[in-house]
Amino acid sequence: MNRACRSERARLLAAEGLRPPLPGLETQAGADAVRALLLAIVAGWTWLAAPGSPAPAAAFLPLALCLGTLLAAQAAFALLRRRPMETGGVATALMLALLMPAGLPLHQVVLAALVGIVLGELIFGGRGFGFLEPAVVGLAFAYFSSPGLGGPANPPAPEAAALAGLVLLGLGLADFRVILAGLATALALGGPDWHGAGGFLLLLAFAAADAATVPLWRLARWALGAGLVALVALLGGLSDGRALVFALLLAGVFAPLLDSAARAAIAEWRRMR
Amino acid sequence: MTWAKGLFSPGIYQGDGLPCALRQDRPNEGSSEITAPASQIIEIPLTRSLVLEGVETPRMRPVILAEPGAEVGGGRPVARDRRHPWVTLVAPQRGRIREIVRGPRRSLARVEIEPLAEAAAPSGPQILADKPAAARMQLVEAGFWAGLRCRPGDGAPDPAHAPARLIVVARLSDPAAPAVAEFLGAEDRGLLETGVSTLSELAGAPATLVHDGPDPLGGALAAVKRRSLPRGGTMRGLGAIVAREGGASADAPVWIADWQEALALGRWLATGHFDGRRIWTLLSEEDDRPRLIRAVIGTPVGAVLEALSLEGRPCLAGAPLLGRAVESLPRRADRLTLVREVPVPRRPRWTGPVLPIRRLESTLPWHEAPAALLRALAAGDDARAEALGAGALAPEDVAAAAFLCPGGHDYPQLLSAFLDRLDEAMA
Repeated sequence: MNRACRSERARLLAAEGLRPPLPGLETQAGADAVRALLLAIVAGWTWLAAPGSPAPAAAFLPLALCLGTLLAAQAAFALLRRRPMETGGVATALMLALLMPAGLPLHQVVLAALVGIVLGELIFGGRGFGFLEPAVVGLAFAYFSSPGLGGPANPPAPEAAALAGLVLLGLGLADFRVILAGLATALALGGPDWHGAGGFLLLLAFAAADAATVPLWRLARWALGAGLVALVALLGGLSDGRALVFALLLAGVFAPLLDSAARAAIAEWRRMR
Repeated sequence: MTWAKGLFSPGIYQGDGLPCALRQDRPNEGSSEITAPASQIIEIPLTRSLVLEGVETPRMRPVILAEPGAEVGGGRPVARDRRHPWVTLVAPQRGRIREIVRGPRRSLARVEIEPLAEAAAPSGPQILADKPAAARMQLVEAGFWAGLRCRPGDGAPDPAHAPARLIVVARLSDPAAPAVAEFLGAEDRGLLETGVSTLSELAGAPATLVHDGPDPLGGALAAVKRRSLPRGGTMRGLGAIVAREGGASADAPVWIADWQEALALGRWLATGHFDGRRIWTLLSEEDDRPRLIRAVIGTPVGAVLEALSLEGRPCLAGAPLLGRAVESLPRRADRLTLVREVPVPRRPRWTGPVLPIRRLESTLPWHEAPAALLRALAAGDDARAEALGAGALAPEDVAAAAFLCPGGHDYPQLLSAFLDRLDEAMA
């Protein structure tokens, strides 16, 4: 699109009171690239800049395995379907690498990534066609297959996760209702500790509030944010990454039910009005 | 703090009655051509030909009622739809048919009329108020029915079926246009009152007058419910208005009358004269606010631009993002936008998912689940789309979504196809 055409579109959108998308964000690939970039910044901050950073091999080897597995799976499905390759794999790989439990054997890392991307995204047709976040599915598989393991050796830096979440929110790629309701509920329940805050914020912004998996009804999103965090507190506490992953899995499964409930509630409210 | 407003009130009007700050921040390139007050109406003289375009009635299968060379009176039908005889193309002014051009598949492309001096009008006609069905047919033959709209669909309503409600829209579509009450004279206010009252009686359903700014009727017709809507932005579309009035469905259709049609009806009842003049807003790139022009329906756009000393360029009617270029002033759209080139949304080879991102949802801020509605249209799920209120929409209401959806779906075309299927199911 040339500059004159983009300017004309921007003018016409502005005349309707709408904001044109930022250059690069017009397409799904652009949005995926932004998510990946933000997660890469979080990963770099956590593994290279934060105090107590791990040895590069310990941090980047799981990332390389996840990335290779995801890209291979996406390429295979793209060839089978004769469609362009999905572009969300890099962001999913980064989330998996940041939150994978410490001590997980490398072959399990590969399996978790494969299960996550195939069962969470590809069998439905790609990102946005399913109802589960592939990183959450992969992490749940990892926790199921190795129940004795704890959280990641180097949890995501909370300040980096918070900044990335804010940018995602500002760009309109994460739903503010889920984040606000989740944060308010977390604060009311005492909030996670500093050690677990990074993972909590990262999953809240990039998984719970992701446009691909949030409920379609706005009212349901408020319920999702509050209910999700309450469920996390019930399952194991706000600092427990495992509890958050399982709560996210349940939230994804029940998001359509939340939509139905919201729709019924709105219809009833209209009838009573 | 515009970014903060956008964060917490996505897409809803900015609260100051003006379009998005992006437009206000645009540098003023040279001096504006407009020196007249915002509510002053520029009169465009009658031209030597009037052009009626077939795009005004896109689904029409025409039966031509007047051949080239024939004389037609103002308000008389020139063509009628074969399946729905109440759908007509009407001469705005007494004149002689100069040319009728057919389009593909025997559709009607354009009708050119040479205007003649108006004959002396009889005294005001009598509407058969005690026989609503017959009275509606009177309006069909007098040329006023063609100005009404029905939801679901966007064509003229079936006069045989009473609506669930009547909505009279008393505001201009352009977000930056002045309120109707600001330029409506006392005489026109009386005629508007007559027109609204007549339409309300003929509809036999609760009527709502939608306006912004002061009440254009000045409090008259207390039985007609008033709805004052905020100015600006995405709340201006008819879809938003119909949805706020309870939506529309095949079982509960809604009739929509523009205030100018009601005013013209009132004038016809008072004088017997069919007034083919209407007011449009015209916005060009150089202007900070639209001009108000008054001309006869069908006046060529080129003549209008010449009268205003503007350079010729494509002119879009209605929602500019729908991209409907016109060569003459249309009856069913009161908003004109001059562009350098007709905007076309991105059309990828593979359409993607419909994700509820903020910018997409801001195109339908009055809906509780815009992404669900758009997703149902994209998937061709007619039952779900109708349940979610797609019957209240017309292609212009989803034109912006086609530009802002990363999935690249052609929502106006999807909605048109849905409305066609709904129309066939209702037939």
